[in-house]
Amino acid sequence: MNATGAPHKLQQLVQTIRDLPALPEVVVRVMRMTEDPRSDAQSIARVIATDQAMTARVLKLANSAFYGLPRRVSTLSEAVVILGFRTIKNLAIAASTFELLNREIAGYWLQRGELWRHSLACAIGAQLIARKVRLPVVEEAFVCGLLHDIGKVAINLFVREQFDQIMEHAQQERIPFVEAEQAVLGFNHAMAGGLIAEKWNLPPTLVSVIKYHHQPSAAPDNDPMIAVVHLADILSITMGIGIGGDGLYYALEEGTLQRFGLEQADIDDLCNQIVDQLAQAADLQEQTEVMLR
Amino acid sequence: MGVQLTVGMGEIQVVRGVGNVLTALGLGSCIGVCLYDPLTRVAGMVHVVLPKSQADKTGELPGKFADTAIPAIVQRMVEQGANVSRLKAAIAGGAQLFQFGVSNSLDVGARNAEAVVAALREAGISLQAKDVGGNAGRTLRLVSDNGLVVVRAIGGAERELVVLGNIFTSSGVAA
Repeated sequence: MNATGAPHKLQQLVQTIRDLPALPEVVVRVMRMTEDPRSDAQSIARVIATDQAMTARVLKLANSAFYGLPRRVSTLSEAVVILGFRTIKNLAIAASTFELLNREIAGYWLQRGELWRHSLACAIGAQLIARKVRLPVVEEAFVCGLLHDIGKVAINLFVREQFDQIMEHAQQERIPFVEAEQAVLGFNHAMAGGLIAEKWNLPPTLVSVIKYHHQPSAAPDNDPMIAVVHLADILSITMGIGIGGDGLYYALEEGTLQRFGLEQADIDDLCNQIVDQLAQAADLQEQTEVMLR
Repeated sequence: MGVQLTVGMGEIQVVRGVGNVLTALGLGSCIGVCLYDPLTRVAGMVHVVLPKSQADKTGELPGKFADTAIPAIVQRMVEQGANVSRLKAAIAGGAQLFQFGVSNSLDVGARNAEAVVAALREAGISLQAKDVGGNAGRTLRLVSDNGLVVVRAIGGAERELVVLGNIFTSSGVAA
């Protein structure tokens, strides 16, 4: 299949990505600080406090039923101490990307809210898998899962016209959707996501996860986090969570389950927990939605 | 005045009377099970996620697992006036990934379908129609007036799977 006009399309894509809103500076700083062992709760709280809207969002989310705190948290430094650096980072990223991920992604036949729901399920799944396979950076997995499909937001504009062609190609050739995207458009949503992640100056692991989440073995560093998110993505898709027109046309890379020593019972258990935690997170979503209105 | 309800993952919804519509959206490997009593027009739908309950994890959402979902929905329907001997069933979903290498651990869809069929058999409920397997996600709808079951594969058109009330309506019992 020829990727007709692919270079032109790629240029358009790059321009679209340039036009997307940047990640707020405060989030970028919080991300850096939570990675820095010298940071303390007060300094992180001070950075968040420079952005009034972000402060309100973080406090509201921290008090949502999802976190089930025994008492109301009224100050940022309290929230940072009780929830921990990494959770605060997750909250800041979730609050700042919700609007982008909660859009209708018409090109993939995803109704408004579906990409967010899928991203949240993948974030929950990635965290569960990371814990299960004893990855040292469990909290990191949440953000990686949350942002893995960010490229769909940008590529949506191009896929809209050629979606049927991509679907048909995937079906006829019996290849995963992401490969069909590549064949028809000359690029895929993972590549687009990688470009966005670079534009946002996200940490290298996050850029790699977004770029290679459909093919972890192709990543130069072969970071296990990529395979974790890959599996979480496939599990969420399999269960139909945020399933679009591209639906089940995704492949689990061979060897992923063996790599982590996961068996059928583990997969069932993970699916079970994802469904439970996603139901709890509905509250988080409602809260986020309300405060962004 | 009827209601339109969405049946989320692991949820059970039961309604009685005319004008009600139950819908399960985005069924991937999950199975949507429709049950209908044509005489009392008690209609139920459950969105099954996994084949088998785990001993310590059945509590909150019995609808999540095939083996606990069917007894739970039947009980709810009986409470609404349905009679088990009149219940008819239709199922849809249980799709699987297009391609997943050598492992079959992720073929949750096929295991779900098998478990749901077995649970229905065990409950003595007649399965009238099914649309399971394949690689497409589905949306499933049940209309309480006559037990009409409609399935739409993602990207495809809606199609009638079965009318669970037909057999009785034609003989005038539920007319």
